[in-house]
Amino acid sequence: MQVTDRTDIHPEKDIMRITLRSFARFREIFGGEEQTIETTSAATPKTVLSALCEEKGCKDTLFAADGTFHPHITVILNGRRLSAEEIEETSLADNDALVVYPPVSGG
Amino acid sequence: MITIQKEDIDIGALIQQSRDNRMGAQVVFVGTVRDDGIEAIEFEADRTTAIADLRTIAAEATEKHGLLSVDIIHRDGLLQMGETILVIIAGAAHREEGFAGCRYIIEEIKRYVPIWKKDISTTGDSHWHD
Repeated sequence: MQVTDRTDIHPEKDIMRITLRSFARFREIFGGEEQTIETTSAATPKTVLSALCEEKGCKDTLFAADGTFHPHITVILNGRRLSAEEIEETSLADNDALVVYPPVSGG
Repeated sequence: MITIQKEDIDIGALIQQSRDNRMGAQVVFVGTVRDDGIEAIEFEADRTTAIADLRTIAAEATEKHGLLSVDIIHRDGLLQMGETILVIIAGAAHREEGFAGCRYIIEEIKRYVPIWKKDISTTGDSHWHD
């Protein structure tokens, strides 16, 4: 399990930890199925994933040129799939569990 | 039965197990590894969420199309060319409901169930499907 420091986003805010799970292509890009990320109380799923993509050099994988999330990527927060709006606006809390799926290809 | 497993699927046994005397039709869909110039396909699933999603889809298909039984078994792990990937059995009183229900199930699986596949080429290269 990796611990990644995200305190640079909003250093004045409270620090919290979330877990991020990823699968398939995203697991390989992000460097592991599960990691713990330190972030701040101002964080949203989008800010966490955006910062992670900056670090890993994979922003084009998750985001379109206009900064919006690619529509076939799924983000789940504490077991519930989020809408595009919720990915941008939902405030994360300490110990939240975030999951990100690449486009699916089962069947 | 609704599950994700590594083991091969005994399709004949599954058909027998899901049959009952109310049914006039069992529609069976079998997905297989096609020869697209590849050696194999590796399937990966978020099993917990995927099985929950399959159960949701089965319940929706039952409700929408009046199915009498639904079985869905999807495999994960490394599958060679020609192997079974997925079996869906939709049991119904009549063929129309069976075909419609089975079609609904496979389309919903392809739309959102968290399962991914990676092609393994004959040279050993691999790439995930988008």
